[in-house]
Amino acid sequence: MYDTILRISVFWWIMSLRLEEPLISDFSRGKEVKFSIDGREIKAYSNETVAVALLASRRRILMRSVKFHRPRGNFCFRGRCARCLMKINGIPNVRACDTLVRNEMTVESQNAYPDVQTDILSIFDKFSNYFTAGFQYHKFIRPKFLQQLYLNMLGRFIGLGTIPEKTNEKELKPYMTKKTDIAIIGGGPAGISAAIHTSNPHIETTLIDENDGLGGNLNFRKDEFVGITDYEETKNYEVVKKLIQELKEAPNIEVLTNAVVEGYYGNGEHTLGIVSDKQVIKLHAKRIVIVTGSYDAAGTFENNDLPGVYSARGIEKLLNVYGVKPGNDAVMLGGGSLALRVSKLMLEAGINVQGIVTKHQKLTLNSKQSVELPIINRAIIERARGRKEVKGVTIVDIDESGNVIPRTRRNMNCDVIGISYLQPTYELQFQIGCKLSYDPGLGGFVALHDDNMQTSIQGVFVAGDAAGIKSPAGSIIEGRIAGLSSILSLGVEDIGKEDLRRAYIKMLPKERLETAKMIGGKRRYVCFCEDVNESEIVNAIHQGYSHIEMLKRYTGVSTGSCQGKFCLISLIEILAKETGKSFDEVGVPTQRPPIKPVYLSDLASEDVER
Amino acid sequence: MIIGGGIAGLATAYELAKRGLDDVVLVERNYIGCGSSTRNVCRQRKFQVDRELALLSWASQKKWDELTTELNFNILLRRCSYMLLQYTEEEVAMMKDAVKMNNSLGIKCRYLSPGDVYELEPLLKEGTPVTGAVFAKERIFHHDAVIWAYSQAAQRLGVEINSGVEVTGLRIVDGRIRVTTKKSEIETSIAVNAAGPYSVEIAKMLGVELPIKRVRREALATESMKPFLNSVIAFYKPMEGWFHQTLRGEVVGGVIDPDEPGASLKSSFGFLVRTATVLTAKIPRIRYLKVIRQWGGVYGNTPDHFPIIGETDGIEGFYQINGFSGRGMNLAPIVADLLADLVVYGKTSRLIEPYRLSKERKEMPYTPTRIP
Repeated sequence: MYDTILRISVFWWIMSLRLEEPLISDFSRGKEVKFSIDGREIKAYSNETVAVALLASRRRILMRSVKFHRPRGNFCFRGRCARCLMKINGIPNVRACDTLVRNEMTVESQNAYPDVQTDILSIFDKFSNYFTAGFQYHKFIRPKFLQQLYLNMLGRFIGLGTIPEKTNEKELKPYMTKKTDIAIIGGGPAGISAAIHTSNPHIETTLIDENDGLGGNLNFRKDEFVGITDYEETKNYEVVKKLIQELKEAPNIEVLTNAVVEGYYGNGEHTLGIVSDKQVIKLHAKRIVIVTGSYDAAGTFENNDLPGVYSARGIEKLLNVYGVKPGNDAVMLGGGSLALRVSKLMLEAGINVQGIVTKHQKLTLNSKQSVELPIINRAIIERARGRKEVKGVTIVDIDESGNVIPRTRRNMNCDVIGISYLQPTYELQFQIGCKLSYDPGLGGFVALHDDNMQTSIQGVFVAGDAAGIKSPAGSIIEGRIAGLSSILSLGVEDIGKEDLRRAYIKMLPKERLETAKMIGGKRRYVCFCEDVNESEIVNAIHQGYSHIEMLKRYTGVSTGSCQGKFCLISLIEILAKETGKSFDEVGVPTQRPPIKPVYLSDLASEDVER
Repeated sequence: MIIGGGIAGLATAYELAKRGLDDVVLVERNYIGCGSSTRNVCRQRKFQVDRELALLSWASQKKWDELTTELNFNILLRRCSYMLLQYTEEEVAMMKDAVKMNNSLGIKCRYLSPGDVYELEPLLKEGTPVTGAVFAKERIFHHDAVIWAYSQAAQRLGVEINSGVEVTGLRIVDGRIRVTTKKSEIETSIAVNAAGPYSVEIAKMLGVELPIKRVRREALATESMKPFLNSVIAFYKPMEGWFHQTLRGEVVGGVIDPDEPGASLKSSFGFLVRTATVLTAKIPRIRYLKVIRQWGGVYGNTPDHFPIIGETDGIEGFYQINGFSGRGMNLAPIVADLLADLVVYGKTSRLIEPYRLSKERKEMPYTPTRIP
């Protein structure tokens, strides 16, 4: 009997996805709470988000896609990808990865019958070839008398969430107009460093971050910081603490947290629209430093939308902050330091990492990092296997030109696929009118800037991942340069600062990503919000919708909840490939506010100027 | 030669080709439909406070109802319940008279009491009390689809559509019009100025002054929801605004500053905040929707808010189809149809005859007449 108990305990230990504690022990789980998911009660911890709590209890399917009811789960774990929309406490379309669990919380599936685990409407996926992007414009034109009926029926199958049953009272927020000298958008290591270097008794700086606290994504890393003597032999998340302490000691810097810069509304002068949890602010700034970091990029294989496909940074956050394993067997896609770091972290957490799949001949790393993991080189993931969740991958070898080598296909079982691609944020830069250019070595579209980090627009600076994917050291140094440049450009005469800036520019590590030709697949999903795959986009281009703005509108790509954050670059890539144009020639379609979807109730305020 | 690739230009090109003109060329400086044609909120209504406009809009609606079949492209035209809400007592009398007038012309519409309004749209009960509403069955459609429909139908009939071609000059040589673009010069006997709010610059090239003032408008769209709004709504107090739920489930709407000048297509923060504040006051339940994008557009307003249609006195072959003052989408299909009759057959119509450029136009006060 003791044997049976042992067997069962071992079984549950293996089955349980929660580690003893988060890998960064500074993060506490909080106290135990109980909440309900589709009527079933489950236990969780108060510092977990709904998505994490559900994942810990092995519920990876969080929603069904709008058109074909394909199962979807979290990808990014930081509120961007819109693949975790659930009905929480009666409110629809809530991002489960951005919402902390609370006692007695009610979490429900949306847009699925009976629930997201077994949705009978997923039968639509079998007919996806009939309902391709743009189908609605070419069908049901005849007979004429049925036109209205057809549209009424179509209307029943659209939309994600249902409007809540009642309206709760809410007070209007105050609306105010403020002025500052330097606005720093983003409170990660680059932003904090920039702020510290603008500190001056005569200059006002406002540092704005959307999170509760500063430090951004660096808070979730426990690998050792490398590249600046002052911070060496410190873990990355501890470097954040040091930076925050330095910021506290720097006078005349206002910090706005839980505040999102929704858009640039400049009209002669630099104006930002900010929505915080307490106020709505129109901020006029003389100088702007954009340090908004980067997004995770989506995988490029068939069935890349299955629950179980996670961004590498998402997996890192899961393990370090929440102590929850994404699964038990993983395959990592991508051959850079992010892939290696997170793979090693997964090993530490007891996850069986089957291998790192890279298009390159070898991992693109500096020599200090050692490699103890199986590397599957010159290969790509062709498809993710599994009907409702990731159950495995099909891998195939490629040659130097990126062509698939036939008869090298093989399957591997896994329940986690990590994607380690990143792309710089670009929306604000575009709205401001900065000249952008596509650079694969920097990860995507980046605002052109000089050595002083000034973009093509006077008084607007960019630094950190937003200026190209780089290491934390690179972000900190660029942040310092941008901060110094912004204050020097205000006429503050300071030889000391100019010398310092020169020194920092010299210190800057030259970092570029090693890139390989992008290889997609006909059935890979490009737009997750609107269910559009690569072959539908190619068809639309051949039908004549070959201008990026028209292609976007006809296929619907980037017009959904994520507004292009995970699909735009793929759309541009496909159009560039099909028309033989460069990425820059294709261009980025007009970017418009708000950058992060914002509730009408969060915008409604008093003292609105007429 | 059609100058301008919005609905006015594309519809005119199509109608001319349909009547047998086999040498129709359209030039658009950006991509077709990039201007006001794809920035509006996709409504078409026949109920109007002005008598002439009502007749024209009604003729237009009949034409709209046929477009999907005629162009063989589903423009997603839906019949909808349209309500023009009143929030003050002063508006009520004026609107009741307007309803009577429309009915006398044969346009079906009726005046609703607040109770009727709430029965049709229960969610309005939670918001600012209404004093009444005009109700009519109107139309909503998909603006991009209309542009593509006209463009593809025109091309099937042999029309040559050139995107990315800007007209840089116009002059008269031997009674014919020479159109200069960056790449070439084209001689034509018929030039149609369909450049929307920018028709002013085109006309100036031939020394013609158009009484068009550019005015900004903005709109926003929210995340998609399952259908919950039954009607398509517009209102006038405290400011002009509208909202409705599209076929895709997004709520599209706006509350505007009616006389905001300028031609910038940029969005403003004031609009975003004002729209959120006013709309959540009128229909509190929508506060649970998230805004995902906002955009701007431009109207080309004439002083009396009637369009400029017809041949230009003194310049044979130079036709205007602009100055729609916010009713471009509403009226362009019928106006293009009638204009094509004029151009090809010399046939005039009392529906568009009054709107020649030479018409004397008096400045109209800001009243509900002006809501498009």
